[in-house]
Amino acid sequence: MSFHITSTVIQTEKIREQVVDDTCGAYVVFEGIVRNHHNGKSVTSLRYEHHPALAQSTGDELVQKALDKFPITAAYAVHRIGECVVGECAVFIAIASSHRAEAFQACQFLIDEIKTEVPIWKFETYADGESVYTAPCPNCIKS
Amino acid sequence: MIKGLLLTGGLSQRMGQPKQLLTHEGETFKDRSLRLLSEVCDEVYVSLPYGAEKSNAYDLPDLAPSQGPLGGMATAFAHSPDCDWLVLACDLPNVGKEDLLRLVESREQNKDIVCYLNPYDAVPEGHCSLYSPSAKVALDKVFESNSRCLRSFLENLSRVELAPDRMNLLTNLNYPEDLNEWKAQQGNEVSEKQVTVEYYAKLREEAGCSSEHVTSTAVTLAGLWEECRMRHHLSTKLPEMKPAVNNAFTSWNHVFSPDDIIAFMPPFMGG
Repeated sequence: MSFHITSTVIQTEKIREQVVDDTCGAYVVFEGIVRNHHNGKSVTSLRYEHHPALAQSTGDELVQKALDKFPITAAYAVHRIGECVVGECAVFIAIASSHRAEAFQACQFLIDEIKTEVPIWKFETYADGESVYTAPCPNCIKS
Repeated sequence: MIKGLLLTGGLSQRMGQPKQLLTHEGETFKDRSLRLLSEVCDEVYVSLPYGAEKSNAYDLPDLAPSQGPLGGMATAFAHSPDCDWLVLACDLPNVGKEDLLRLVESREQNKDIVCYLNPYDAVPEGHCSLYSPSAKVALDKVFESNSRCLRSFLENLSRVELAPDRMNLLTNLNYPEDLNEWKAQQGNEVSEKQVTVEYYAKLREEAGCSSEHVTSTAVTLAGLWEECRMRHHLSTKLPEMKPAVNNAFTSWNHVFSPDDIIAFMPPFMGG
């Protein structure tokens, strides 16, 4: 299965060789990064929590859905859990296909679905000391 | 003299249809509640929204718009300030005549209200209560301070507090799933199921635990959620969440079984 959950730093550079083969003319990736702001507040740290069994099974289903929906060669997604620092990769999606159009579409599809369907939650700590489980912001919407 | 006031519910937005018109065994919730009140009270009035047309002398349109249940009560107290008011909301389908009689029989001099305490969190219930004329004084003060909060109004009343004789007395129906749960319970003996409930993210924070063993008398997950919500004062709304049973997503109408592991999950925020 190509949906992975990890509590360690995502080794993004090692993913390409697992996904691309000689039939592929396109390789599209999305890297979600921990940014230092949310709703106007300064983020100092962040923690991801999940429902282990459901996050894995749902993620697996979504990767399969992307493979079924788009004529792509391979799809790979990995999500962090645990403590992350600003600048760190939180989620990484890689799509390989013969041609670029479906690779872009599948990548957009997969990140949009992961954000709404996989039981993962974000606990942010801000510079003013407040900590909160975040709610989806207006930009966290499907295109 | 005791006058009855039927609260017919606001916009019923969460239910998606007017709650007073829901039917059970051929009777609307409104008609059932009117029938109960008329068996206990000398006269019965119906609270209506501001601007509604009166069809008879017992209709009481609110004196001002958008005041919530306190607006209905204020209108009733202004109409007849010298009598007791037995107030009943139409979405408390487990309240019966004996429960209303108990309120009346428990009346005490110098107390503003006779009410039941919610058995899950001991909070006074204001939608099935007997208010004395002295409660009007307290309500006028609440309005002067521009508050319309029923809870803080109740907290400032001198109360005769009654413990319900059953856990589901004050069940009220907000969402279609609540109605489904209530219908699933009708005609069946109450049975207990021992399950494990898991809380995630914000719910875990509010519940103060990541999981607990629960003895539930609910039939569906919606009923189990309501028990847990009241016990822990959980703030997330039912439609915002997803439940799962034994590591599989399911619906709120799912009938759960003994020994199930149920997960209540607030909106996801991955990515």
